[in-house]
Amino acid sequence: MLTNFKTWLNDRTGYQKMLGLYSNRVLPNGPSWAATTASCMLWMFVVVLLTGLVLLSSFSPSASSAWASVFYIEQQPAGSFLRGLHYFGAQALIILFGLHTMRVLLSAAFRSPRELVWITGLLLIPLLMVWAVTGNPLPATQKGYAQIDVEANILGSSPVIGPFARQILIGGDSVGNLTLTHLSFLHMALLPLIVISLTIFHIWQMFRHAPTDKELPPEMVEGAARYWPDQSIRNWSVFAVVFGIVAWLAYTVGAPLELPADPELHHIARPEWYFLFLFELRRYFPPELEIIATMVIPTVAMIFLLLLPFIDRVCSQRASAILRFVIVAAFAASWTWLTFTSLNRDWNDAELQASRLEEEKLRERVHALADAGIPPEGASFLLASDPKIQGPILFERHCASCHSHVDENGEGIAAKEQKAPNLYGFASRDWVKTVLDPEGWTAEHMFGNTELAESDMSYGVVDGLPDVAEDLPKLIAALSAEAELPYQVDQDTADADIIAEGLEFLQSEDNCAMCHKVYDAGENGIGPELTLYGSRSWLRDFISNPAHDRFYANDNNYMTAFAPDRNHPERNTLDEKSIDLLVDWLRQDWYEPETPAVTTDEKP
Amino acid sequence: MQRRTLLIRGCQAIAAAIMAVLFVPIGRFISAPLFRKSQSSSGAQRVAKLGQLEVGKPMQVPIIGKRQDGWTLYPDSVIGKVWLIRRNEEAENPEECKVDAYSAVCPHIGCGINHSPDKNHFICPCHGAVFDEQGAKMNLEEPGYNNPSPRGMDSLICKVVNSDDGDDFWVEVEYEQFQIGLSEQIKK
Ligand code: FES
Repeated sequence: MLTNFKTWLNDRTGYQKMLGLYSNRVLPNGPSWAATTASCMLWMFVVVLLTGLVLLSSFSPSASSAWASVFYIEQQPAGSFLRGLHYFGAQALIILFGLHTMRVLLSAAFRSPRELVWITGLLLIPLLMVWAVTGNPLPATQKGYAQIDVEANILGSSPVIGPFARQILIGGDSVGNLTLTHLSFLHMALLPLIVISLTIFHIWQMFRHAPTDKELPPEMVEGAARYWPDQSIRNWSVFAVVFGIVAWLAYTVGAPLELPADPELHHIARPEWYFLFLFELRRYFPPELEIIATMVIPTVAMIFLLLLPFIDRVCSQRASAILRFVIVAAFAASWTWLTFTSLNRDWNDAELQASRLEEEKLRERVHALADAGIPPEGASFLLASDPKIQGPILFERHCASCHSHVDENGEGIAAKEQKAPNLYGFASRDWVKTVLDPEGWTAEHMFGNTELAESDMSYGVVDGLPDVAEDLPKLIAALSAEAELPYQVDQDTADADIIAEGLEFLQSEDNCAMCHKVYDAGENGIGPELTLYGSRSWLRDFISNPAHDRFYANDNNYMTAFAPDRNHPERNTLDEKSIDLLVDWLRQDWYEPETPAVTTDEKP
Repeated sequence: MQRRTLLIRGCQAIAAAIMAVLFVPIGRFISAPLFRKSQSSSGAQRVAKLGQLEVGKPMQVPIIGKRQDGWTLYPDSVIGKVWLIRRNEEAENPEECKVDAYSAVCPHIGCGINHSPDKNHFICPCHGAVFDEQGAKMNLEEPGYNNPSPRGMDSLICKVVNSDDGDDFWVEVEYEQFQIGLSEQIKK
């Protein structure tokens, strides 16, 4: 049945003759392990092409959804593995390309009549590079954006057409939606077309110049090793090993998905490892001559190599051998040296390492947030709207000149000049307890450095409260419960009775309500209102305008009003969103995954 | 010849192994949408205050919920529409208030069902399926009329509950999606 079909198919297509060209080739020098690089590369190319094609089915090249769609791919069955294959397969391809080129150089396989085979192969090198460059930024990560930005600027610095080419590649002045669609076009349409065409030409020429049985002396054909299966088994064994490594890396390590792009974030750009040698080379030129490293040297090297078959022709056997050996040795040595110098420098760069560590923490957080769903605004919105991430940044910028935020282990944000209380755990029981303790109240990290240290409140805390020591725990519980802190909910519900008693104490006009408004009791004007003290709305209003009647009223010369003018937000220091983020952060009111954060390193 | 066969078998084995490592994941990835559970139910949800409903007069309300669309989560999106009909005047005891809820998705092929106040029945604008005020399939007296719907409108679990402060009533609906085109009501 199958044989019949094969015969029929062969009658129509003549495929057996075609295949025979490939498989029946005589290997005059016998099968070789070194020659396996070619087939290895071809099959790796197929793997990368195939996985890329599959990934394409779920990728969205838009600034707001690219990261989300890649994250989605990672969540799909086998998605992470396929993406890993694509990612590591591409890198394996680059290594194989280097090895293959060096082998061809050493064996002088570029000689006549194979000049065009050599030239098309060489042309694939820059194409492969551009292929990698256009692929890395596609997930719209901070790292990818920074990379393409630098790479586009390098392109832009080349003479005459540079600026135009850059503008077209980026699709405008800065990286964004059009950059992603342009990169996708290059990465998924134009480059595959060009590379596939060149590869087909390259392989076709190889076959054309392979000797056929008829062209060889009969004694060489008789009993000679044939490509199939003598060379094939070597090819495939080597490919199995290489593919095995790539698959293993894809399965255990996986392709990274760094932080989504966010212009707020500071990122120190570095190229991928295979470009580090060019990056390092740049350092040895003054800025005005940088173009020598980024453009001139690569171009000259390329042209030299392209012309090599013709240069080789005029050299003697010996000179050619030396020349070829020197090229390979010089490239291998300088590539290795430059790459490792660069890696070493980065490794010892404390600032860079610290910033990478910081990014890693943020990345984990963003992945945890993304697990709970990515809103239509996109993944960078997750970063921008997360109190846990934005809180410390805002606090440092606007509050830390006077306030500290330091936990019980002494970790956190120190005040530049401690003029106001430590706000860590603001309105929690511990915090209220410290405030209502005569020593805690006057401590430097609480109200000791404020004008309030000499106010009526000081009189109340220092002289009044010790008299009611047995009621104090109730008072503390009640006041803290007003804040409705999410991390204290269980405690607050359990102590409902105590809190009710404490609230009575708060509302008694002989005690707190003498100076504070507490629900219906007391009046505003002396001390800040204690109704819902420390709650979301209280804090928001307080930060917006501590000079409001409900708070310090006209006595406020302690604290900046960050958003006193509701009707003209543009006149305020902070917008509502920032205040909300600060408030949520101070109240430790942020999303935490139920189960311990699922790291992407975990595999199904 | 022995050796040659052995080598060929070796090549085939390697090829098969690599293809398996490559194509099994590809198959799983591509077929993932087939196995994805649809999250059609969003639990009981307050859709209207009882006072908004007039007895016997259908009112359409949107169902708002989270909608996961591929990689995007829409936090408040309209995930469906529901027709509410209040059946009695009762407004004291929530247990005795009777409100019915019907999905506005036509069981024929899924258009949105309208209500015609003059004729006092539901009518689907796409292919003219008609339902009475109990959601049941109706046959019009017109010559040649054939109701295209395979079943009546899908009724949903609907309750009247006290509001949090206790002096108002909410209508609560458990929205659900059903397969279209079947004479039986089967959840999606
Ligand atoms: S979809 Fe309603 S009648 Fe066809």
